[in-house]
Amino acid sequence: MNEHPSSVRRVFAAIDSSPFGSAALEAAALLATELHAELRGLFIEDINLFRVAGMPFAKEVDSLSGTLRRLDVEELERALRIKAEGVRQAIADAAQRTSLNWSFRIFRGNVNQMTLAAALDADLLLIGRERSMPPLSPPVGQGPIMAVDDGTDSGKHVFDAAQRLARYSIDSIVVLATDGTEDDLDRYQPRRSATYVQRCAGDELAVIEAARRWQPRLLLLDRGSPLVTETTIDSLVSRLPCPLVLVSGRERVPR
Amino acid sequence: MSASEPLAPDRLCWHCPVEGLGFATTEDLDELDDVLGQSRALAAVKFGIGMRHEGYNLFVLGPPGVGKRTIVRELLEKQSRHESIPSDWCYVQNFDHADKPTPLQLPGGRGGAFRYDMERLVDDLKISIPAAIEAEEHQERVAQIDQAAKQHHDEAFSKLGEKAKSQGIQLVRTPGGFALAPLKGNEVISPEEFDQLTDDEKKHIEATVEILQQELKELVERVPQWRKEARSAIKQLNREATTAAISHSLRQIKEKYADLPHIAAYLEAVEKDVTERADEFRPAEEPAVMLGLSMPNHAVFQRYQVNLLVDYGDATGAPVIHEDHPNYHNLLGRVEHKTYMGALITDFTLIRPGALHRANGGYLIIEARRLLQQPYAWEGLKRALFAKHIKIESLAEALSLVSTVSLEPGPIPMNVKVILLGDRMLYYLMYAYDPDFAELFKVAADFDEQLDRTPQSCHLYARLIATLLRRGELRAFTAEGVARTIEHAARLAGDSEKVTARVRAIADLLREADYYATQENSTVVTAMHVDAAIDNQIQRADRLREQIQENIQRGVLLVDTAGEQVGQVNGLSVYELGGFRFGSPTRITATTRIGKGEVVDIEREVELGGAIHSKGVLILSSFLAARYAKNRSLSLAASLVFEQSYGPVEGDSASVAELCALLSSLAETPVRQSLAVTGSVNQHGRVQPIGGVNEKIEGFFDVCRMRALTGEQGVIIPASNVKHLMLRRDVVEAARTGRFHIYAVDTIDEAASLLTGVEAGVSDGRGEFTEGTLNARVASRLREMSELQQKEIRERIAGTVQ
Repeated sequence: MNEHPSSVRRVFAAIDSSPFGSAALEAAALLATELHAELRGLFIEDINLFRVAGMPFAKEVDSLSGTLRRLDVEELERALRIKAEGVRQAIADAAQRTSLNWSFRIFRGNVNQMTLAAALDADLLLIGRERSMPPLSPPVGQGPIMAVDDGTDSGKHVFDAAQRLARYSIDSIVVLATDGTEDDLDRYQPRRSATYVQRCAGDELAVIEAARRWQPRLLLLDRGSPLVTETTIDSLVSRLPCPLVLVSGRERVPR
Repeated sequence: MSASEPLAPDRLCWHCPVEGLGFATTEDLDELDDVLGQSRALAAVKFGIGMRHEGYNLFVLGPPGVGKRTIVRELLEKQSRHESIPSDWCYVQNFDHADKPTPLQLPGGRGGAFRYDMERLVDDLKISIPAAIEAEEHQERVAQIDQAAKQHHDEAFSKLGEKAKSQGIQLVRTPGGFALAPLKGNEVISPEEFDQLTDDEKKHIEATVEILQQELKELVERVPQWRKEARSAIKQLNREATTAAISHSLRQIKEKYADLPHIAAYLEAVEKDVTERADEFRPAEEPAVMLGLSMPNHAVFQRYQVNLLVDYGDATGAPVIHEDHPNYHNLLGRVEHKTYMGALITDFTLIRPGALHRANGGYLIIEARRLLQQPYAWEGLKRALFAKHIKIESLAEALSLVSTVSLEPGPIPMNVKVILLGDRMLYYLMYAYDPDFAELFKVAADFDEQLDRTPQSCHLYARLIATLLRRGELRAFTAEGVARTIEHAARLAGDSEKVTARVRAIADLLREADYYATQENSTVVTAMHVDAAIDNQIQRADRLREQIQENIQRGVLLVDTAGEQVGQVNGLSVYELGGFRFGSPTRITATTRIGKGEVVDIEREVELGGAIHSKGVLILSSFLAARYAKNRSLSLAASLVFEQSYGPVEGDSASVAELCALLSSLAETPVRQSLAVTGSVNQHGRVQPIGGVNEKIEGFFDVCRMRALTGEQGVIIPASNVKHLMLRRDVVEAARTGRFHIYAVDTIDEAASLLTGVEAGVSDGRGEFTEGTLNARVASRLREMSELQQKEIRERIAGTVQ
């Protein structure tokens, strides 16, 4: 794996302390190690939370018990500080295990906007956030690595990145070939893992539906894909059963 | 025969007639199938075995070495072969109360098959259940349930989110839950912007949020229920798949055990439990880890194991168990524990059987002394016999030494015939002090230590010897060797008309004689080898005897074997140490003076004399008074002492010697020191038998031989002991050549006459004896003492009056 120099220099992990965050961090550390890249951890404090907490009527519904309680800014800041410290420690531990260069930053703002902004700087961005609804069953999928290929070169790079992850963890790969792409299985050569190709409509709902069926470990998507917008990113992150990986179109992963 | 005549040599020892045995070597003899003698004990054992009523357990009593255990065991094994094979017993999981394992009874020999069948069943389940659950079709159905639940869940939240959004409200995830916030465009409005709203707008938003919050609350509250429903649906699906998967395997085993209703019931319970626990049969993707140690998931399979406590798979009859370490747990079973991560854990597979389990339906042999030496073992055995079931309880818990939660295995019905082996003293003590004993051990089988010696019994004894030789893989004995062994058996019995029943001692002698034959490369064991074995047995044990004899020889212990002394007699004592008995002479002296009719036993005064010895001495006073002072007071004070005796003295076998010493002192007539005397005497002067006559004679003989036999020396014994004579060959030979003599006496007069050489004299009926006789001298002296005392009293009274 290490015989070819990689153009990937920065692997970002926009995560929180949820199981999705842990899964994303694990994959991010793996990729950063493989690619000799730097691991950057991002913890984004949702500005909307502070706005809500500042409202005179602000209340919080407990996600486990359903009880209502007062939501105030001080309490919120304290809770977020604890979560951020937890994430920082997790990144530090992961980096120490793999001898990675790493950094960690906390931002506050619109989560989707800031996530997409971070994606611009990252060669690979792994997003793992808590779902927007209480989990019904074990949240993180344990299935294959899933890659969305829109038929472009970037889509091919997404497959290559998926193959790296799959090789390391002996997973199979499911390629979601969006409608309009050609039936060209040679595109997925050389294959180092069991690879399944599934046709799929090019909208985020179809991708979410496919992901729910396969219960993948990770879902990889080109950062420049039309699926990645400020609106859809929220839908994807909150409804996918696994962390989302945004792959930079600039990435040139050696095969 | 006159008492003054020594016994003829042929009366000093019985010799087994070789020609009467009728064989050349023991090769010619058949083995002895039956027990030699012991008819009373055998009848009792057979009765005890045959009695099936409650409490008819046996106590087999008798001295050690008579073969109680071997005989009883052989009888029981013979009997048990004709009895039915008892039930197998096992413990299985109690699915309703895990801490109370269930005992299951199976016909003898079927327990092993049942355990095997259950192991195979579990092996099948390990494959068939995961296969059924992991099957693609099943997984698809599980996924459908899962997805349907998720979809239902997601839709509910999405709907709420959309509903909120349509009302200008955003659902926001907080660190601990959810919150609802008013939107402006796609952004949550800031508190400042909210402040700028009109009161109506604010109220409207707050009302809307409140309603939505309530809906959100209800939704969140429903999540656990949905989760539970989804899990239940999946569990039900797994249950159905499991039922189908195990039905074939279970049907086979159920059919096999359909004739046993309680096994069938257990299998029903297994089916129910397996179905409930189907998920646990799936191999774990990663083993559970606790404190860094992986925890294997064996528990689910272990639940269906069969702990076969008692297996009669190879049995041909009822069991005969001998428990040689009868402690509480070895008798009643135990629940073992194993350490796991620093804790002690247990389950029904760690229940271990006790001897009562293994003997259930048969016989259990226990050494009574060992049983009583083990704390609570006797109590535990009694409890089981009374309750007629075996209940395994931890001794520590029963005594409240620990209070941990452990297992309470269900009791197992018990039907065991217990045979206790022990000596007589133990039997009588238990009978006297434990009221339960007589109720539980109604049959006593009392083994004799001696058998009558008859020509028939000698022949049977020879066959017993042949049997022991074959079983011990020893060389054959010649007829002379056998005869010598039987003679030794008579010597061990201490009676020329008996032979010992202590087979162990005879077996030891046979092995040792065989050893000496081996040393000489002899193909057969002869009388010479038997003699060598006997001599060496004595030599190995006779250090103390040798030391005493040496002290006598060196003059440290004062014993005369020649000359005459007044008031001094050679008595004879027997010592028994480490199973070896020997005799030795002891000087007994008496002094007499005027007194109040008391014979002072110095041994008793210093508390060295035992009760029986004291009784013997008191009889002497009575004898003296009755014979010599019928019509006047016995004005005698006498002292008796065992010279140079520094240990306890017990028994009355020296009372003849003591009386003779007294008579000698009173008559002032010297006693021949070349003679020793033994025997007890009653208050009429009759001499009574004593024990250890052979050892006593040999003890004095050895001392005399050391100083050279003069032909004057000998021993006076009670006539009633003559039949007990089984003297050493050298003693008999000395008697034959007139160098040593054994005299048998019936009365004290005969003994005193022999010792003093003076005729005893006969009473004329009025208390007067022939002039010059020993008794006349004694009577005269006592009369003199009495008169002197009377005179002194009169003088004293006269002095007081003046």
